[in-house]
Amino acid sequence: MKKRIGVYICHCGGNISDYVDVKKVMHSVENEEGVVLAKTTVFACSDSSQKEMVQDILENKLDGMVVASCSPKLHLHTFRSVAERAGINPYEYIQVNIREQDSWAHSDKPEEATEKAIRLVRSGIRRAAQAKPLTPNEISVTNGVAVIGGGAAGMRAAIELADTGLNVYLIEKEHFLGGRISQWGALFESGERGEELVERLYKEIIKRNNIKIWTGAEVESFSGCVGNFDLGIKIHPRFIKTDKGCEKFEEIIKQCPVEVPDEFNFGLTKRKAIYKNYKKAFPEQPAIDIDNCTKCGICEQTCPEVFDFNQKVEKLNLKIGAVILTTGFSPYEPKEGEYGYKNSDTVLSLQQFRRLMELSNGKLVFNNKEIKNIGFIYCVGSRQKGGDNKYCSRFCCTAAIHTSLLLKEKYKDIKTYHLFRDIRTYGKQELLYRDSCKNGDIYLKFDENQPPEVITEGENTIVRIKDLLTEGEEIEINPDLIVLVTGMVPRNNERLEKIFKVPIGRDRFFNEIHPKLRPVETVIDGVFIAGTSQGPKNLTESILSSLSSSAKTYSLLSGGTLQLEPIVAIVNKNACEWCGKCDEVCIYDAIEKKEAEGKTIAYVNEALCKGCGSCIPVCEQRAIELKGYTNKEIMGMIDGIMEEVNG
Amino acid sequence: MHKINSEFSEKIKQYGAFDINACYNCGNCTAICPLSTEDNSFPRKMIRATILGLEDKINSSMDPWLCYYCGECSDTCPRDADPGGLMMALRRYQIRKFSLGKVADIFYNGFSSVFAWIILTLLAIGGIYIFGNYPDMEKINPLSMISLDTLHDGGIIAFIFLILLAFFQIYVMMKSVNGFKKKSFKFSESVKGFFDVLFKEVLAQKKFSECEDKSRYIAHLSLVWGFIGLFIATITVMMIDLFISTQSTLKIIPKIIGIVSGLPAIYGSVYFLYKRGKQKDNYSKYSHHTDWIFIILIFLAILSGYALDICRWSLFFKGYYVSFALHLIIVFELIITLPFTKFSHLMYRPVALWLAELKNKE
Repeated sequence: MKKRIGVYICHCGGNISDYVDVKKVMHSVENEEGVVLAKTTVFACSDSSQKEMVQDILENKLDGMVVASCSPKLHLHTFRSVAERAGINPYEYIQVNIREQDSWAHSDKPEEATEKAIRLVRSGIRRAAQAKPLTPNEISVTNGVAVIGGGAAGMRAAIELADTGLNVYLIEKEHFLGGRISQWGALFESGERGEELVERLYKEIIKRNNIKIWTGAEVESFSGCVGNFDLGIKIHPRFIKTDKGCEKFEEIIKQCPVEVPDEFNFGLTKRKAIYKNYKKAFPEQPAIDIDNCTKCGICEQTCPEVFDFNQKVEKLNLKIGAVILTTGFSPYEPKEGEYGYKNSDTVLSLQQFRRLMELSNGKLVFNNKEIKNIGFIYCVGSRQKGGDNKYCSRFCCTAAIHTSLLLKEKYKDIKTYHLFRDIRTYGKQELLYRDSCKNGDIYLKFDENQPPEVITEGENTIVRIKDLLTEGEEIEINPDLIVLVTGMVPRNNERLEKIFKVPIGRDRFFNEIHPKLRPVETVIDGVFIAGTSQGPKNLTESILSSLSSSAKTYSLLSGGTLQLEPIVAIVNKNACEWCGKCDEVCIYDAIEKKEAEGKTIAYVNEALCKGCGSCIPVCEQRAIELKGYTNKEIMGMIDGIMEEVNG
Repeated sequence: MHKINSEFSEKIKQYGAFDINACYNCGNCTAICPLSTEDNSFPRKMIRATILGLEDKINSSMDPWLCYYCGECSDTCPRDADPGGLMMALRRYQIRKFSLGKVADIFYNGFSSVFAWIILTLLAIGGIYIFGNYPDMEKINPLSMISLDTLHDGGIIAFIFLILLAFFQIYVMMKSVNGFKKKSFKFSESVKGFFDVLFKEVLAQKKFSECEDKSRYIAHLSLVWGFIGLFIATITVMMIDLFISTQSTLKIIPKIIGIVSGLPAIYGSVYFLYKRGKQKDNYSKYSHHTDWIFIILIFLAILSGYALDICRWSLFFKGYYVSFALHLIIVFELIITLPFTKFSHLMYRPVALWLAELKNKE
């Protein structure tokens, strides 16, 4: 019990004192038990007030302090440091909110507001009387970070993290790095190709000894707490040794008799059972798709030393301090029949079309037909009023327009028609839109309730649109090919979501804590998100977020130790009977079952506990308490509020 | 149902309008245009029709004739697509389209127009040579060079030719104008509309006066009034010659009308020549060769008319006859090509204004 508490009632320059009689509040609490000093102040947060408080504490040898002012969100830390400067524990300082929760809310009833203020301040004093000094827990952290997903964002993050001295584990599900950009071809605005960027990133990665790459690898388990996680991964065999080379891989691939649809090219072409995504894919060694391999042995005849069909699935446990999820996106796959998709030979998605462009030499030919007129239909699978994808994928307008510019560059006579809802070429991308217009590309705008109609009559494809820019008149075009400008949807991440317990946003992408102020952190400390796993982004934006999550990771792990908030749950060993109810309600998995002194009790992992307090009310034995909000403190607060106010 | 013809905006370039595809439909041009109303989004509708190549829409529109090219749309265009320039280009395109047998093609093609003007000039010189005489050098008598009968007959033939062509081409224009049906408006309304247009638009140029740059409006009004005066003066002289006497002292009246009317006409033509030469304002930045020929011919016609009078007063006989021949040649060229050149806005614009007026009433 404290005996020397100082109480300050703030005017907040009239924000409080206009409605609450602060003098009356002061007088009615100054005789409370333990209070040795009560004052009002015009602005408690001002420099002079803070100095005065420090002086008061020192002169009166105070052991507790209460400031009744604004929300603790605003100034809890301000006054905690005042307490610290005056030599008392910051957790012995109690903030009472009589602005947001009183004067502002009850500005029409000043008398009642004053009474409420008295009750609130009194409860603060009672809590202060019971408050115990707390010190943050310090834990040491593991020098290691896992990056899940080896696309552009993941590779870039890996390089950045490695340069800070952290050990980086880059984990990629596919057998080749690069992700979506390796499929894309020329990128806005430098014109560099995705494959070239992948090559540059890969060469940087292998220069660094502290980056370890696992391809064909999946995350199996994830446990522990911030600073010290255990990450279980499963590595699928490649059946080709990555430390050995062979100059005849191309020949070997050609000889393989098995052909399956090539997913990398969205089924436009076939690949072999021994394959590379594309010629210069990294790592350089091909991989063997064992599910489709007939084990005919033809491949082994050329370079037998690189093949190893005895490779087994390997499981590893990695010790890491933090993890960055860069699992990327999937292109939206139109439904069968959506604008004729899959029902017609003349309809492709933008992603498919980009592969077609990459694979074309000379003329642009699809299904043995030379393509001269292309109709782009925008917002396919995006901004759906009724469907799941309510969001705008933000990259697709620019991507389609850039594609159109590339087409004009490569094939002079090609004509493109753009059937859009709105053009969202923000920032510099606007210049692409201007160039495309100037090239004579035709833009037609449709209303979302009247989407264009695609009619296929034999070889002929007709698209009809009510063009809002031409007074809603019906316009007909006859394209040789229709390209559906499809946006981004999250990858099928259900398993990862469960493993990492990362919250999912409305659009089903990973969700950050705060979209503006904490854009790459998740509610799970030590788990960061970056790139398009978080939502649609163009490459620039992806890399930006990957670098920012690298920086956050570095600032978390660089000190070697971490200070954890001391307001956590604590178990009274004597009272606990282990019923498991606290474990059930804990969403952070901070409760563990433990054997101690001959009985089973609950144990709180302080590194995982967020101090939310969910476990307190479910404990029938009252064996679990929250530091900083102990039962004594809470009961004291209730008493402080409930007791009648005199006069 | 419309089909797109993306070649059209390429084709329209020979008439001006080089960057209309840059348009991204923001509508600034329509917002600033004093002529744009809720029902007629001016000039955006035409831009859209051009980009998509909807020729039937363009052919059936009167909009190009309603535009006075004040250039405010082009000033405010964020993409520098020059919508005003497009309206002018479409006007040229329609002149060609409405002309009999597409004769106007000859004048709108740079190469063939050079030949056409040379041949016309040679024809005029040949005409004077064949039908004229060596003039009287003792005293000034224009009729000694070309007889009154020749002038009279030539004038009548030219006028009949002109009127027939004008009627035919106006008929072509009215036919291609969208939604024009005879029965949809009353006769009395049509007559009233006609006089409205005549007084408000032809004589007072009310809509032109709505342009921000008033000096241009004044210059154009000067040209119009100057021309009306000169026209009256010419007709009066002819009438006096025919019905009173070639020696009549009454001729002083048309003479004075002519001299007075020539002054605003000179002002107007010099103003436009200067502006086109300077290329500062949007409306004069780009000049099609047909714009130049039109304004130069007008200027020369008035100049040669004044030269005539100056020579007469200074008794410079040779100069007088040369000026007279020159005047005849230029006036002949102006009149004979009227339905095929920029001059044709004289007939198309009032008709378009009249039709627009009637359509508004519908």
